[in-house]
Amino acid sequence: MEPNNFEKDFRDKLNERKIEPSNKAWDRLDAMLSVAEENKPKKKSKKWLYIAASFIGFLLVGTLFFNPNKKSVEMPENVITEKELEKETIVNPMVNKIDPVSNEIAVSDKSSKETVVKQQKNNPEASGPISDKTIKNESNQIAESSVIIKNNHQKQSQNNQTEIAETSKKENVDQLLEIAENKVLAQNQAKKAKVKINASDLLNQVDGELELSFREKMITKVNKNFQEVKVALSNRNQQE
Amino acid sequence: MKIIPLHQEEAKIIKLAVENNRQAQQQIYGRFSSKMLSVCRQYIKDIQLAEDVMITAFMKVFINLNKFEHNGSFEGWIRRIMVNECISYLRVQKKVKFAEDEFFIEESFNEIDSQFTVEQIQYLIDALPDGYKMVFNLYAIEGYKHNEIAKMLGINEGTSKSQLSHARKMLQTQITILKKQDNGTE
Repeated sequence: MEPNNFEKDFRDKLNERKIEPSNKAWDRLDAMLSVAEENKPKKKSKKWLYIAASFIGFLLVGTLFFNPNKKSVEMPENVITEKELEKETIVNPMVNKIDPVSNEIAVSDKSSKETVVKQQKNNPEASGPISDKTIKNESNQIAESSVIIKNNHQKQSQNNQTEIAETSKKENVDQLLEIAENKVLAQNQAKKAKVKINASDLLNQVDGELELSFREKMITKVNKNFQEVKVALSNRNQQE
Repeated sequence: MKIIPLHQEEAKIIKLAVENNRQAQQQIYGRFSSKMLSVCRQYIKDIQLAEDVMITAFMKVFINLNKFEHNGSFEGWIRRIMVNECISYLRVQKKVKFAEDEFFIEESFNEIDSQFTVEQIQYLIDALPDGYKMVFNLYAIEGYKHNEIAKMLGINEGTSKSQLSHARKMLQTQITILKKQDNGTE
């Protein structure tokens, strides 16, 4: 289908035609271009934001991967300290229970002022070791203290003293016991803190070692694979 | 010798316009706007609407100016954007649909030797339905081939041919009427 003559005429005449647009046309285009220009930098800044965000994200992931001690350890630490607290609370009643027992022994034996005082002196000494980790020690020391009390009682039986004096001194005994108890509690609390720190340190150490070994494992794995690939490639190259 | 500096000047202006230099953009607009409004007017009867479409097309020209490869004619590149904008305007805004008939007659009207003014030609084209008008403009005026037109309009090649054939037939009858009127008045 060749273009007809009249079509050629149409084309020539239409292509020569010029229609001047209105004066407003450029102003409108100008305004549209300005708007487009204003929008462009915004897009650019958004792009930069995305780049910055992803960079920070990578940093976070990186730090978490290479320093996982902080977060992964926090959870177990809490659990363990709770457990420790439970343990201590178990120990505390034991200590508290033991003290009255020794008191009862003292009272039932009708011990004199001296013996009671000695017992009190022994008690703090004994309660020191009691707060140590093992309950066995506590019981041993209590046994020791009871032995001392018995010895004192024998000595005391030789020195005959009145019951009136004993009653007046009982009040003193109670006061002294309270002071001793407070001391024991304070010591226990001090020990608590020490134990906590030791536990977390140990955990951190162990976790660090675990992580190190994991990282080393990964590195050795990668190395192994790399070596395998290297060998395979060199073999292939030799065959060729 | 004269073409090279002209081409260099054009390349320089384009480079400036890419960098959003408003003066360079205005220079390009000033050089091509009247021709491009004429192109848009071929497709759109309302001159105001034609101008609107031209402005949108010029926006596209400036936005995509960095994609212009300097191996073709700059005017041809702008013209293609104008034509595409007019087509999308007619198809989207006016929702022009093409009858999918593939009936067309190969005939020529070589005997018709028109001596019309541009206004008369435009009047004849304006009288065509939008579908015929698009295909006729693209084929006869812009020089696209039927397979290209089919791609541009999203129709079959056969539909493009039949639309052209219908447009020609309509134009022929209109031309004969106009000629009779002209002869009568003369």
